[in-house]
Amino acid sequence: MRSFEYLAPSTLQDALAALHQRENASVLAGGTDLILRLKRREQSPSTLVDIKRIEELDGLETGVHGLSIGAGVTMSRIEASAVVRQDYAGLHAGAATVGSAQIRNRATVVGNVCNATPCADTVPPLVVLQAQVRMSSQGGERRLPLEQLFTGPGTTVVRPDEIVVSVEVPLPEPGTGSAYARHSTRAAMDLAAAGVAVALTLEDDNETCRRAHIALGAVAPTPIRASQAEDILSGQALTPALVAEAARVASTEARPISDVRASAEFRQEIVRVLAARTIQAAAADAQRRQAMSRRSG
Amino acid sequence: MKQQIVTKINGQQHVLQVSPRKTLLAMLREQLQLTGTKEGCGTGDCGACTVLLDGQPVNSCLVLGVEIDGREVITIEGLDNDGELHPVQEALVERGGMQCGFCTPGIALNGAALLQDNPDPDEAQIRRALAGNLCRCTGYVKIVEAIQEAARKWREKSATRTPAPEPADG
Ligand code: FES
Ligand code: FES
Repeated sequence: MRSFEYLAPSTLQDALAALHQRENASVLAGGTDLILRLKRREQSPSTLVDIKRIEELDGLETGVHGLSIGAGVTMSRIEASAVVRQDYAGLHAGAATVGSAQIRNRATVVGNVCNATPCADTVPPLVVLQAQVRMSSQGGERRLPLEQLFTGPGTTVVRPDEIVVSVEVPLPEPGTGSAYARHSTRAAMDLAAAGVAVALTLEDDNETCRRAHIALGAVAPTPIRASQAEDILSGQALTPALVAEAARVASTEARPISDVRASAEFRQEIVRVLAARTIQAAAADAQRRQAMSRRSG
Repeated sequence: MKQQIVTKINGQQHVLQVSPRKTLLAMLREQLQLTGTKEGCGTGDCGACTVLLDGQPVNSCLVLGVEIDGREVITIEGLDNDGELHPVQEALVERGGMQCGFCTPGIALNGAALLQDNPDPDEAQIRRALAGNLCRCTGYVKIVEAIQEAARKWREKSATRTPAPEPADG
């Protein structure tokens, strides 16, 4: 690791000022990716701005409008949240899949998003749940749909003087369920060879799909939507044949590469299998949420 | 340039001068001679470097020493209670949950943290909690048995300390 200046400001303002004043500064959150890259000298910033002491970035807020995940919130906190498990099942599954207990205690959701690795486990679920990203700089604040954040593997539109302060996830409307599944060679501690997230909204009959969102991870330079597969499901009754057809189409929308983890052909086939399972799991989650809200309403 | 940090390690306060690029692992081993914490991979994959940071298991090879300013660390040297082994340590010894011992400090700390959260874990929960601790010797079976045994002892101990409340339905 090359040497660097380390700053640990306690306010967002000070952190933004530090980024503004310095040429080659990096934001440090959980560090599970960044410290590894520093060790490998894949990145050699002259300053690290540690944002973990900034209280206003540490909130995991849940409310009637949705979920606000501050930049300091770890995977473990997402995993432990009963609200996330209840209303954002796909995100819960994604966070619980990341790394090991030790990694989940450090790694943050916002960090997972900012690193923009195509195989990030929380990104496809956040995409189908229509998450927005909030960024701050000295010039002010802006918001973008998460889908528009990525420009390529490891690259985003976040500027060097900006901090992603939170990811905002709207509360899924009644009748909506979500799910995430991924395949990796080992069950734990491994990067995804392919991941599929689905959010479905069912009509009151609990069978017809009003709207579907499907996102694929690790099978393209950035996480992508399988929009043709979404169209196949929309407005239709979720029969096994329809689900199989949507899954087949989703696999043709994947644009995977061959690497050490899997060949392109295998990845495509995994997407088909995972998509079918995940569509069904999201529908089951929608029915479960529907039943809960009937009971409580 | 070195920075000053104030931290509690194994219950004892330390004021340390540390270079920002030094990992917590290197700081513990080289500056404090706490060599019970091991370096296996240095990349967050093996768990040999596991310590408890504010009670939570983390890989000390992926934490900077400067990051623990104002926080509390427990290493394997601090897991016992005044010389009395932690139930997880005891069970690892008794059940043959260790052979060469290189993974053992990490497993003991992670196992202890698991019982703190969940005093009655099933096998799947134990295996999931220990997924980030690689062991090249034991084949894991004896480690899992040891944690189950430790959980039993742990529950007995806490039962004698605080009597369990009467179940409401009798
Ligand atoms: S040495 Fe830290 S995880 Fe292997
Ligand atoms: S006992 Fe040797 S690595 Fe686990």
